[in-house]
Amino acid sequence: MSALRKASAELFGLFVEDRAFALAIALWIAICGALAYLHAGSTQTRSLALFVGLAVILIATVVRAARIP
Amino acid sequence: MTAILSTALPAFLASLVEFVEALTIVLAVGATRGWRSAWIGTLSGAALLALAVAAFGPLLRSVPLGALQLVVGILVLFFGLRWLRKAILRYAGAIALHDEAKIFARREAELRAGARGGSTDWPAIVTAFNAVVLEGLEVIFIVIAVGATAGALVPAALGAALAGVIVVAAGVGLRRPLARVPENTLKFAVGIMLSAFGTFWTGEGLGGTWPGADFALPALIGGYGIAAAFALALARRAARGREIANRA
Repeated sequence: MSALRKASAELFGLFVEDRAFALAIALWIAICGALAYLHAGSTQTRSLALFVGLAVILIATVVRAARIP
Repeated sequence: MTAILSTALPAFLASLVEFVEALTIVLAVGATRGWRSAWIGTLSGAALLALAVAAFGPLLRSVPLGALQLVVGILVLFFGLRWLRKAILRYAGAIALHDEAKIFARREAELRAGARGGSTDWPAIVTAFNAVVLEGLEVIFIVIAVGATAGALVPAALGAALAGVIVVAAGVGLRRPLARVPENTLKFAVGIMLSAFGTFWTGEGLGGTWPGADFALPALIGGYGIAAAFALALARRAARGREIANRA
């Protein structure tokens, strides 16, 4: 059981390294999903918003990590 | 002859786009995580598709492609953005570019662990597998859509098969040149590509559309390239500021 837990943790770690970064990505996808559910904006606008949001998250987390000693 | 060309050619061209998309991911996985994982993922995906076609045939049209795109897209997105972030931080000097002693110690530990229970690179296999299944399903839909409406499934399937052969040959040819690219450069480029593919599929999985359909992918790759270059410039400045503060 502990081996399974260790393997799951290792697998999780390969997709998620910085928890804040992963959480921000998941939140933004959820927000875009909610917008799609509510039919807010056009289908192309929502897709572009998904990309812009993810690019901003990438830039913000890179700068934050570079500042931390 | 005209009927054959009118089904084989559209099936060939549309399938070529899908095969190239799958090849991009498989090459990215192979060049950065090892060709063994890329092959296992690709062959498992192809085998699953072949079995699915043999067992269900045209019934495959009822597979919920949107849901599949969403799951695969999110997985590829997490994988790609994580790599891209790390590659940018390495270039900026915020984390070590290469530490041979640490790498040697880790590899040694991995080999020891491998001797005990096998060291399968599951994320790499799953990424290649997902790409092959997703794009392969799209090729099947194309063949069914083009071939079934014109009553010419065989020419449509032959057109798609020819596209597959050409793309696989191109992939084999690209293996060696890729091996000469420095590791962090490769991870930077692969991170950009995986992030673009992940965003594309996640957007489609959420019911969205992209301007220019599949041709939005190069634009997304360019967009992530610009974002990565901008992040790199800011990170370099931040890392320099940190160094100066540490010295003071």
